[in-house]
Amino acid sequence: MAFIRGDGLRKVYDPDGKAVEALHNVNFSVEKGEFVSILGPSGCGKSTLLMICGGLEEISDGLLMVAGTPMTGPRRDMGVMFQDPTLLPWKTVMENVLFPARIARIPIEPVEHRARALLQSVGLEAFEGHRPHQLSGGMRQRVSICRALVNDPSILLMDEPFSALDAITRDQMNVLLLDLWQQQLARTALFITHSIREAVLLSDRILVMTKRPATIVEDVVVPFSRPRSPELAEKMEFNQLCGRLRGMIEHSHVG
Amino acid sequence: MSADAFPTGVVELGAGRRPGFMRRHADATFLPVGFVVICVAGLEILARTLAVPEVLFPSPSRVLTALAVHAPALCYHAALTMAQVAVALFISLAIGIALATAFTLSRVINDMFAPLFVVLQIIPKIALAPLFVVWFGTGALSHLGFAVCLSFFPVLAAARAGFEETSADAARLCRALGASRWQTLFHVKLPMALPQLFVGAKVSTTLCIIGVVLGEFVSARAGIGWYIVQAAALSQTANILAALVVLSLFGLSIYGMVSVGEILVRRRMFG
Repeated sequence: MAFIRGDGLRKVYDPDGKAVEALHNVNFSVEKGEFVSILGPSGCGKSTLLMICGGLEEISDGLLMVAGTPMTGPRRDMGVMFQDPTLLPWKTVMENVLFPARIARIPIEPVEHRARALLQSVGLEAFEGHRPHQLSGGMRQRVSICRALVNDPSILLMDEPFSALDAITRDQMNVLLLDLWQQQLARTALFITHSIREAVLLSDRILVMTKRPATIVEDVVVPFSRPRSPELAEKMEFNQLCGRLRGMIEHSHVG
Repeated sequence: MSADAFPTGVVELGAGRRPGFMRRHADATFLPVGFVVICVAGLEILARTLAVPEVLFPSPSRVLTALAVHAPALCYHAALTMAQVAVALFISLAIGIALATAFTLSRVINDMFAPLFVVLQIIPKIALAPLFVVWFGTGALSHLGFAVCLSFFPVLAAARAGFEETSADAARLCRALGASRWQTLFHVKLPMALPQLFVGAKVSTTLCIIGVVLGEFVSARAGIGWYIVQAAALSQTANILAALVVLSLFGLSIYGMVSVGEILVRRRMFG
């Protein structure tokens, strides 16, 4: 049975009488342990879909099941990463990573060990006591990954987490996320992106979304075996798949 | 010679355009102080040459003499007043933050009371000073009550603005983590509101001083406000002005403490 399953999801915003359909009949599923990307142009509703999966937005119609129960609100076993790292400027790196544990009111000490291990795996062990304003954009987003993973979530939701970074940092973050995934520090992941190459490198499966109607039009399995290395991106099969996906997105836009 | 002088001139021009740290701070201190010294000197000359009666306008040197002669009494009364100001400020902060918290935590409370407080704000509260004497007697309690009534609103307004300023991203993070309203308030909103709160506290400080002194005008047995009323009854204008000088210095020191607190918190929290 699928871990996350959306059936006929529909989301309508009604700001001033004029209803805007942000999602139109979205059907998808994510298996346990799968890394699934939702790929689409900006404004196609993919962020809305992720917010719904995180319990941060309500659905207007349809049914969303997570771990066999209907979604009602944010779940404690969920880690979230946003486009903005959203670190609290007055807290140190360590305190920012521990923030979810403080909110969940669980004993801090065991979490601290995990936090330290996570910071080490993203190369920030020397920055525990630093404050966010002393870090670069990429480092901040790495802290944000650690924070998302600190409670050992069964689902990791990521909303274009690297799209505000420069291209070189972004490539580094992709490799880092690939590493974390392959060390099994994260389990089931739903990843929003508009970068085709990023989606192909990281995912087991890619859901292609279009703008009108705002729905998932293709479900593409990424056939490359794990562990993957960044060199995969040089291979012909990789580039062929990227080309195919680009074709799907362009086709759906013309049509 | 001229080739030598030319580069020096350029360097000096550059230095003049971008004064160093010390220079800027020296200017910020010396310019206003110098202006005040010139004004005082001008007043002294005016008072002496025009021979204005001392009751109407005592010369600065007379005020200075009164200040020196009555320094112990002035400091005693001013300290009494300032202790009340400090307590009133503390209570204003507590009440302002508590009300803003209630407004933030409950939409119903917010919708029910927030407009009323704005209406209350429009009432000229100075007119209420005698009422506080009726309610709380002639002692410090009525001064405190009146000062708090006068000064809690800027704190309330600042705290509400600060709470509402919380970035949408941080609020979303809290919701995603399943934080309760109290947790969101305590961990995110309150720290984020601190800079705004200090702005409110500064306004509140000056209102507290006004409130306590006015309360002492209406009824008191000690305090700088009472001292001023006594001096006015005896037409001791120099003493009134001396009291004003002491009051200003004490007031500045409390305001200064709030400002220092603000700088420390900003540094500590936002780097």
